[in-house]
Amino acid sequence: MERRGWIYILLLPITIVLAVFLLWPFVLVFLESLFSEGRLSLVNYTSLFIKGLYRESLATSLILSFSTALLGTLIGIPLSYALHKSGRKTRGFLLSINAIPLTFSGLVVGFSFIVLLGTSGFFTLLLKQFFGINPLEFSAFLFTWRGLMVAYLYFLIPRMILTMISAWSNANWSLLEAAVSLGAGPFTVLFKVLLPMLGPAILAGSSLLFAVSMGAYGTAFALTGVAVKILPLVIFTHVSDLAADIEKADSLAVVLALVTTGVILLYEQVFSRKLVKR
Amino acid sequence: MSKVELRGVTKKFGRTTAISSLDLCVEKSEFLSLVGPSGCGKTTTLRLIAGFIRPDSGKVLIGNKDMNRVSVKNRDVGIVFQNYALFPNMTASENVAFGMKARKAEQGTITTRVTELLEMVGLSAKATSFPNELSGGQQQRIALARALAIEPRVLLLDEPLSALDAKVRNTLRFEIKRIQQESGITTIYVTHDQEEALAISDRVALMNSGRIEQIGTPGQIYSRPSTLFSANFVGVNNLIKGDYKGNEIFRWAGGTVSAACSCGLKPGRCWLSIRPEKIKIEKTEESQSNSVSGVCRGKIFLGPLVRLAVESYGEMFLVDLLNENLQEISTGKRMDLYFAPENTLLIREE
Amino acid sequence: MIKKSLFLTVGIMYLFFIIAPIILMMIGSFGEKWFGTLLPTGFTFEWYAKLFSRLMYVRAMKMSLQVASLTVLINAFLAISSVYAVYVLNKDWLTRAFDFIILLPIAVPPVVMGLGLVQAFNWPGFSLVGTWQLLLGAHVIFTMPFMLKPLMANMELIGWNTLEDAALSLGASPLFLARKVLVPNLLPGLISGSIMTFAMSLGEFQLAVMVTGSTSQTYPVVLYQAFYVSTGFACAATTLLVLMSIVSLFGVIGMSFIFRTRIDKVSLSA
Repeated sequence: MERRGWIYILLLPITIVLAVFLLWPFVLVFLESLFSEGRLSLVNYTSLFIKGLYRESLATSLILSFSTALLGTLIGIPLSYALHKSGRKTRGFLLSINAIPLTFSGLVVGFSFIVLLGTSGFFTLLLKQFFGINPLEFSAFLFTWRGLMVAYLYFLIPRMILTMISAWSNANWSLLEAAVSLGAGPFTVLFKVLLPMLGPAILAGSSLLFAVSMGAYGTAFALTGVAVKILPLVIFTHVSDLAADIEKADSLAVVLALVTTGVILLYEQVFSRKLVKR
Repeated sequence: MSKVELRGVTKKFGRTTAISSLDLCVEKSEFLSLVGPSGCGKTTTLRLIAGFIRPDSGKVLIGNKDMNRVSVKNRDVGIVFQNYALFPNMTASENVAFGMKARKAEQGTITTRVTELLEMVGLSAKATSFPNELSGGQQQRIALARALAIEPRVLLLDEPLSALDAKVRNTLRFEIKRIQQESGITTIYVTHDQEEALAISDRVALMNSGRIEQIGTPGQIYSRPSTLFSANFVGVNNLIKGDYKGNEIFRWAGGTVSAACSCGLKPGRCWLSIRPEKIKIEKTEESQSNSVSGVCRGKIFLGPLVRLAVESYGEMFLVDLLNENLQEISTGKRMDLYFAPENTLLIREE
Repeated sequence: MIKKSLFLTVGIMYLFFIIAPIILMMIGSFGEKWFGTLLPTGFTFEWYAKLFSRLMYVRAMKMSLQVASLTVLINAFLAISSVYAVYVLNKDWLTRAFDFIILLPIAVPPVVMGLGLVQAFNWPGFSLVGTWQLLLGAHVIFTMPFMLKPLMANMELIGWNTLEDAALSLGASPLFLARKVLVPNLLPGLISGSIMTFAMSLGEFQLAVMVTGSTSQTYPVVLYQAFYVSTGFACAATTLLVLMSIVSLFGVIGMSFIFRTRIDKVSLSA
């Protein structure tokens, strides 16, 4: 419309807040990461690939995120379909339960898994009672990156379900019926109809899962302290440890943010356009 | 109640011209419809009058006053929208009262006026209902009452009935007409439905690609289309391609017929227009020598009428006949069609 | 039919996976002793009494409530103005930027943001690091999507553009329009957004632990220390936070029922 230039002023407050508390700090992180001992250099970045701790943390984070994203996707798809098919009322109820983990702090998730799967956790003792499994041996895995995977799935699967549930309800099932009525076999239906229809949602869901688990550290911190070296935890320890080299943390943070932002942009490209479409 | 005038108004959106140098004059207390296909500029014209958008050039006048510097809220126009646009957080009566409250009217005046208006639209019983508790037709009546509450100088209706089903549409059509006649308010009504425009208006302005194609009373628009577009858009029409030979003689693939009202038309390529209901299957006195022979290709039932499709020399004639004793007519039957010269119209090739 | 019951079974199993840890924790918080047994033994309110009597926890709770409330207020203001502008201006680049801001907390992980804040607000002689004000700034950014999303969904649901046209033609001034039409109609989204923002700020740990200092510790930060006290106490401290999250969530869901808006539109995600 016309004479609406003044409306841009309404965007000023949010722009200022974003600039002061997000953009400027991040620019600072980026600039600092380019300096080493007062001099401009790329040493911080090259050391990421040389120094064992950094290389290890990057690898651990990538492996952890990739495998949790994959598992979350594989578990989430059938679950979301079951939810979709479970009837209107049940679905509404299950979806609200599904949202519970999303409101939890990572800390809470970590602790609840100690109660469930820890050395004297409920499930661990259950296994001991019925199958005679040694609690110490069983629960040891919880405090490694494999244990983290289980805990991460607690807040990742709900996200996958949320992404998929709208894909299921937006799916054009008559396409499927048309394909079958035209004599398409199950493989043709899967690859020519079902995957093209649901592919974007699946890709969006798994990239969301990947980015979320890449950036989270609350759960890992609660479960393992700083024992499992994932990228955000290594950054965190650099901040709390005064002796540590903050520029190194800065370069790690830049790498981490690049990965998550890249993945999220992919997610946005395939999925979130429909949010504000009119 | 004011006169509305557009003088040489042009409006562009980016590179597309929505309205090009449009002149339009709506008399005091007149009911004028803007009708045309989607994208013809009718809604843009309405929004220009309302003041939601400003013309790139030209003037909009309401009551002989230039409105170019007057904002929407000071123009005193009542608007009824296609999707009702009732405020969901307010009851029916609060919606009606909104404009008066915004203009800081006295509470007593507001209450009386709201009661009056709700009565006028026949919804006194729904005063305390929220919009989502009302049917589409009821919501639109409330919207009409709300627009009239501010005693506007002009009432603008933007496709007010197109979201409603056919039955409600027909009753509301009568009601809008009645309310307009009672209040005598200058009314501009936008619709894509030519039938609705003809039914409801004093005058109809037929719009096409940002210009007014023809303006006139419903009778004139229907029986005297001035352009090929008008002849095509309004009602059902048979348009036969041919040549005007002068002396009221029209020649086409099937021979020659005499056509009336060719005044001012120069010989050359042109179209013969004849309404389906003006074609007969029996010779009458008026039809004189105008006859066309063809083969019946189809027959459809239209309630009181039966419509035949008759093929003749590559042209398809639609013929509407009263639904009486037509059993003997069936597909494949050869038949002769007759029509009076004064019922035909010649339209210049564009 | 067999198919349907299969779906139902899978659904119920999933439900257990989600709520089992929560139930266990709640049971644990009332147990006198829980060590080496399947479930705790004895019943007590002792842990809760302890929780509310220790100054450190009470102070942290107050701090959390303070930061969360202010976060809600600031974000409500930021969100209403920006959602209105983005919706009305209807520019493609703005919509894209808006979509991206909704995903910001995932695109820029809290640890990166925390690291930046710690460096950006630490000048010699004057440092905001360790103050609750800095955490407030961090939480405003972190919870922004939870306010923006339901408000935008709300704008779309009510079809704002024609409502505004209608109000203007009836003679409403911008202030009258905002007061009588915009805010009341945005109320469902605003309330849902506020509840979610409040809950997210209340439970946020990753930023809080980096940004706050000893005087500005929030509840999740001291909760971490509770893990090392005793199982019962830790369970009680965690249960408190969990309950607040769940109550908030069901508050949002209840809201959407009250206002007859579609649940998936005003609920959370991302």
